[in-house]
Amino acid sequence: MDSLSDNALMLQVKEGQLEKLGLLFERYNKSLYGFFYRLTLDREVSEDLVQNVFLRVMKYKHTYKGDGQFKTWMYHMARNLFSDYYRKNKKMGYKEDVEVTDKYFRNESNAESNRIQKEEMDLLQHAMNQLTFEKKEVLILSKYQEMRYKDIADLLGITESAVKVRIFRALKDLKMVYMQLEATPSAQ
Amino acid sequence: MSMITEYIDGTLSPEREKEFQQYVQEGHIDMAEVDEMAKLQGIMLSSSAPAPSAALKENFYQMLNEAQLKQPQAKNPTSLLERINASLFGNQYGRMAFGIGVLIIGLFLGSNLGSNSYKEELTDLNGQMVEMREMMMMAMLERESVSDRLKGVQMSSALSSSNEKVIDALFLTLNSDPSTNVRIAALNTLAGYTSDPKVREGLVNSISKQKSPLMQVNLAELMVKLQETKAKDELKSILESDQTPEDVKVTLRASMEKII
Repeated sequence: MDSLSDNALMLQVKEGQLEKLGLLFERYNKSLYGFFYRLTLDREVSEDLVQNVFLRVMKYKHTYKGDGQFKTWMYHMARNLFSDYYRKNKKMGYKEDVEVTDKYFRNESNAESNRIQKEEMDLLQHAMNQLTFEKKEVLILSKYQEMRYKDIADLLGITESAVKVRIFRALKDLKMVYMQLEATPSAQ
Repeated sequence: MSMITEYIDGTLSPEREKEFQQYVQEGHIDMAEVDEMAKLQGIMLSSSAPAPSAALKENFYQMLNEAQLKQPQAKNPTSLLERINASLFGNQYGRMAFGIGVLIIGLFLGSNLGSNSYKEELTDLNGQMVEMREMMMMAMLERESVSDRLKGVQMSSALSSSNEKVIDALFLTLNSDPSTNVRIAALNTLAGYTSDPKVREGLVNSISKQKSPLMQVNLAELMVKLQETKAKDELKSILESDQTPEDVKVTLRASMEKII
């Protein structure tokens, strides 16, 4: 396994060994992309945002103290970048990206179960888009990014049990919207 | 409410579990709703992550390379000799002034001493200039300062690619320079000469000599661009090494798959 922790690598980047940022990129580019993609549903924008996160990591490397987790520090920047983007664009509409949704199922063998699974995912995506940003974000971080509640709490600046409550509320809302959408197939 | 999240996650402690069951029995918690929520969570957890395109990686490494070249190098010339050196060769103007100075002296000597035709002398001088630049480049590549060596590599890109001495010097730098920045610069320059089979062979042989993950990844990407099948064995040996970080292995495997 990797011999150096994120923290150690980032401290080396801070000292000027910029090439070490390459290893951090390899570790996190996919998960950051996933985070932005679930929020924006736009591949190009998501890739730009990932690139901007690493630009920012490089620009603000001198502020890295190494006392917390690198991942949390990086996601702070990711959230700030996203809120900048959101403020400028003021929209998070649902945009079907056929190529990407297809990719989820390319390797599966059973066509019928794939179709059902795809429908479920599409419906879920619609439902997610109708949640408030706060609820959507907490679900993305915990269920798609599989971040620990403790880390989400650090990132959002709230307690761990507040995170759990927020997730409960988000899931509850999601369930409600999901069932409404399921009952009215034309809404898809 | 956090209890319901824990129930869905399956992380309730035995005590909280009891409390939870009590709430269910008293009708405070609707199990049908909780089950629906758990089902949605299941769908989310089982979905595969969307993957970025190859352009993301390409753009990132381009940005990183540019940032590395821009990075100011700590330089503090102390001795008189070093200071003269720095003012003469330390910046582009110094080098240009030196070159022009030599050219003028050459022309002056040539016009005074020369009995041959003007053109012949110019060709001769031209040759001398190239030789001088080569010498300067080699000298720069052996300096202690990283930025000097980087300048050496940059100078080489202005010299003819067919010159074996230049190519050899670049390969020596690529394989043994202690600074990754300098090795990357050498790699970038050599990447421009890949029409030469010797250069391609040298690049393939260089793979196994690189210890830095960044270099391994950069070389692998170049091999994909060149579709160099001979590189596969070299890449394999890095993949099988215990010292290679897992992230690099993943990238190398992806690169190997792209080489047909």
